[in-house]
Amino acid sequence: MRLILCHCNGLISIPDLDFGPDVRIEWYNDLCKEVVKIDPEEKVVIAGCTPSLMEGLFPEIDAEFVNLKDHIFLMKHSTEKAKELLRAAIAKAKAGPGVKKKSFPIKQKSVVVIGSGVGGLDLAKALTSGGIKTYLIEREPFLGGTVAKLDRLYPEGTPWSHTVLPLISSLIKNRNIEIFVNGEINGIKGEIGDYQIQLKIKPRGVLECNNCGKCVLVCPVSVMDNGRIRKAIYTINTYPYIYAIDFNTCTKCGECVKVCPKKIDLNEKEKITEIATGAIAVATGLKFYDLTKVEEYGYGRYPGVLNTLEFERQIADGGLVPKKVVIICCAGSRDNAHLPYCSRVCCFLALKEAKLVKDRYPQTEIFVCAMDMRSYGNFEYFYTTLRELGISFIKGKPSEVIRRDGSLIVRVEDLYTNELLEIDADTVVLSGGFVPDQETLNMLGIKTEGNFPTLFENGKLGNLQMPRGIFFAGSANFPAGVAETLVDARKCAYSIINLLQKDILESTQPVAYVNEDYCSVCRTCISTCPYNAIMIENERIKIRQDLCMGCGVCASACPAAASRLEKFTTQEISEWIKESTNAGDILAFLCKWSAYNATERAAYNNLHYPENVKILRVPCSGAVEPSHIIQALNLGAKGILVGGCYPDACHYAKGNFRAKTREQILKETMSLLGLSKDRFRLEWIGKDEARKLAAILDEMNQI
Amino acid sequence: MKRYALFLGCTVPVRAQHYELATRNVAKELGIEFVDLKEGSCCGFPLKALDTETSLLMAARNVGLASKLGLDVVTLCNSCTAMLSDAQLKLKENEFHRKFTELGFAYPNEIKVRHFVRILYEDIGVENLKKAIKKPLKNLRIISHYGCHYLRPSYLHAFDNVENPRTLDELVGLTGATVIEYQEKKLCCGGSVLGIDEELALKMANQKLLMARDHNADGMISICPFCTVMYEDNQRKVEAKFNTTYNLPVLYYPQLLGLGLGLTPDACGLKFNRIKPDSIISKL
Amino acid sequence: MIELKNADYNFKWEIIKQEGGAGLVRCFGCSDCSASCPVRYLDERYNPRKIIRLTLLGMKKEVLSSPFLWLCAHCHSCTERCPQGIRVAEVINAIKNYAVKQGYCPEGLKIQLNLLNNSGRLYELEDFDLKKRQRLGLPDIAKRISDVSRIIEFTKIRERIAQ
Repeated sequence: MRLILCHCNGLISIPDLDFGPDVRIEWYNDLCKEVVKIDPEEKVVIAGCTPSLMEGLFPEIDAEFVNLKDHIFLMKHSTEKAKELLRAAIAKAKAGPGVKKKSFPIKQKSVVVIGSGVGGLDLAKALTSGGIKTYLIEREPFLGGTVAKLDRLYPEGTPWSHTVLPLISSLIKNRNIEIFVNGEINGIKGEIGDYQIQLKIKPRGVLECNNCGKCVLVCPVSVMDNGRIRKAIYTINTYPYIYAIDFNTCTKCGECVKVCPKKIDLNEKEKITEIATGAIAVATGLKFYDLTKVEEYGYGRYPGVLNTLEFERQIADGGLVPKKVVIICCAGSRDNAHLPYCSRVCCFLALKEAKLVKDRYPQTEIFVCAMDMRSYGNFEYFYTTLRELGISFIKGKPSEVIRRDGSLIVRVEDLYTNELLEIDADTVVLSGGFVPDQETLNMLGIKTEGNFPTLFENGKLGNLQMPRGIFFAGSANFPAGVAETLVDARKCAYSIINLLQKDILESTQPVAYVNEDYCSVCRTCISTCPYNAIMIENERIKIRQDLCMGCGVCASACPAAASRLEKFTTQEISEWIKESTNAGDILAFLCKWSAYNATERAAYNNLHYPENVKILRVPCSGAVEPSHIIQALNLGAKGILVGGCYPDACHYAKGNFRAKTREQILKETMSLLGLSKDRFRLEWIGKDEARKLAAILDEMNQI
Repeated sequence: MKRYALFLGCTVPVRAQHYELATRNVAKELGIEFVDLKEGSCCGFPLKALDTETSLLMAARNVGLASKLGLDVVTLCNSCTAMLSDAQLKLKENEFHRKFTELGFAYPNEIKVRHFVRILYEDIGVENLKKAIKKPLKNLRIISHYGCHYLRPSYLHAFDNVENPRTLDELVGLTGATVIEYQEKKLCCGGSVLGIDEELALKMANQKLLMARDHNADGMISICPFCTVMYEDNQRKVEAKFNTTYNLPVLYYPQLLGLGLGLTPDACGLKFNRIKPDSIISKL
Repeated sequence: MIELKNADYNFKWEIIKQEGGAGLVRCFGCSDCSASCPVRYLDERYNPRKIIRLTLLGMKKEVLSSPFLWLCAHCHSCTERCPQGIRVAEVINAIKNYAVKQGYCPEGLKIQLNLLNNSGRLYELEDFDLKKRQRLGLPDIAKRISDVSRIIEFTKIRERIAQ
């Protein structure tokens, strides 16, 4: 095995290094600049500066790192300690199998885009112009999504058609695209790079069409479609340019067939088709939260209470001419009983509707009730415009809408004036929040937080790859306006093209695995995984290597030590502890995202902690096993520190909370073993909190 | 035969015997057996503002009495229902349970606490009650008052729909009476503030009495002695204060149901109502 | 004008420790509680939002000595509506409990306590009532329940009020 050391331009030197004949020792002056060839099969320890830098210098290599610069030379600790740390790292490297290289072939070079709203269309355009074969799937009979149901775009009110129609016309003749309307995903198999999607194409009924519109005149079925009445046979003038039958309401009376000069088939069968794809893009947009659940506002009970979409369509149609309108923001939002989150766009959706009314009917009185008007960035100008138009803003959450003497009454305490108001109105508009298309998310096995995909799933954790090859664009991530959706769709296209260019996706990131000999399928690990990476397959526990992010929480929670994290197995850690720990030492297990960085900061800031502190870099405070701590204490360590991220700031969502819950149990165990509880400490240490870290270590040394 | 432990509380056995009488007679008709909690005390609600723990311990003691019998508790007062339900949940907390047993009380069997009206709705059922009606009360227009603690807080009761309640209206409707649909069913009678600010309490009571008159109600249905104190016992005071006359009979639901089941007005305790329900009796 | 330098930062944490006081600090001041309140509807001296906000600001004396605190009818309309899931009526009740411990106890409550201490019931059963019950065929019930005074002794509530 090889020990590669860096002098760091003269900062680091250790005389008389010798770890036996099987360890080759090599010194370099500056590893940042010098090229070192390393056989990926060979075991190697690299010692020099911080591992977070060196990991980047040797991305393909599974090495053990020793931070001589920060932990020894800048800290002015002895070269004897340096030798101990090197010996421990060598022992750890020898003890374990290290990291297995994972590779995922990207077999299919195509993408499935689910949803053809403005996000899906723009994404498809970006992908096809990048030369990627794209399948665009729309559940409804026409392209356009929510945007095509609107009158105007969010929030200023430009017509939706000037954004959507050019996108559609640029797509329909592109040879890289295949469009499926009335399409529903039936099933999905495979993993990143090679998915098989089964698609159900529901019947459209209209096979050939010249848009004469005779069918609509004879159709006897009227349907309320988001505030507007249409027939069971209809068109919305996007694409395809032919009519469609809504078979949920069609009575199959046959009147349309009689007048149609082209071809209608009321008994058309659904079709099933298979698509192979390397990646999936979810552009399913948003759905309106079911406002009938917000009982106190009377939606569904009182005819004058509408949601924003219904209101917009009725105003645009001219079917509704209101005299007095109350718009209620946060209807069911920021509410634990409904949607606990802020849907972000609804405040300005409310203002968009207010402006729509003012444009048409300047005399109409409008009240907007909001707990807080959330106007960020340039939206502030629009907010000012609305005030200038004479809209009355009320601060407060209305308690209820009741009906009295034929008009609707909104009861609200106005926080600006401290008065309890009853506002009478003919129309009440509820600006409710949004939920994603849960059906699609479930089908894809996407873990959600609140309602929307977790940070992990939608790839917001910068340094991680997209593990499943499933991408999210626009409001499928979180409710977004059109401009934001377009930006997001292009970012999404970039990531997809990036993935599909590779033939094989490789990773040397440590992940967890299960030693089946010890596993009793108790399922403890399943509940601990923040990423849904652990599942039961054929009655055995399986950890999906493409989904595991390597936090190690499952491994430390496993009662049988069956679930293990690569490079962090019991043999490896106990070898490290054995070699590094002297009686009277303090062992610090520090999270690599926070507390470990504080050790580097300490070195740069000339802060000092005692020589007898030995530091092990761990993926997460939640990955530290109680057995390791007990082992170190038995070897004579006088104190153990586990340092992690502050509550809610864990890189792996909840690893630090795991560490916290374990603390109590560990301390009880220590009492049983006759060990003083004060010898163990769990602390939250931020990445720049060197002073705090040094103070804690000093304190522990005083005992 | 369905058996329950009957908890009366403070007000019913002393001030609302007609409610108790009608309840017992209706129960007999419907095959419901009551086992009396003779040692039942005040539910504890009056002391809640003073010290919640004391009030919960009192409530828990009453729950414990029924638990020893292994019977679910039936209550006749909304506030007793909420208080005892709260205690029943609280008994699952270790610290509270420890104090409870330290006082020498026990809670050996897991039991439920429900209002008599809820028992009628859930355990007998609207359909069965409808079948049992012998004299449909066709000519009556009835406004029903739910009262606060029959449904609220919903984390204790988890019953009906707090914003738009239906159960009592359904129960009134099945007697053949016309149910008055009105806004703000959930208004509070004001009983809790009577001791602090009488004028305010009377104002609160007046709101619903006005609604009853606006809807030409023959009578109001109450299911809580607390609410009846406000709408019936204090009706004359409300009238004097607001210079008006309501003369609105206020019946407990079992009294109305009893009439529908064919019981005599005496068996329903109607002669003890403070606002004489003569107008109702004459319409039967 | 109120000078906040005299405010008590710990007041809200004291209330949270009371039975039912949990969640108080989640309040974001939307005013749904006060708009739902049937008492505030008729009498604006009482406002649950204001009581909670003053508590959060640490204005202990103003809150505890306010006679309007006791106007809450405990109807739980606010609890059902609170978007933050705060059991508002329970929080107001917790503030009442704390006020009692700090020496602000309405006379009416003391009278109720004495009644319950004596007989375990708010209304004592007089011979007249017992006879009426017999006449109506209603079963006997206990005249006094001594357990109640044991509970009152156990929680030492009388001593706390006396202080």
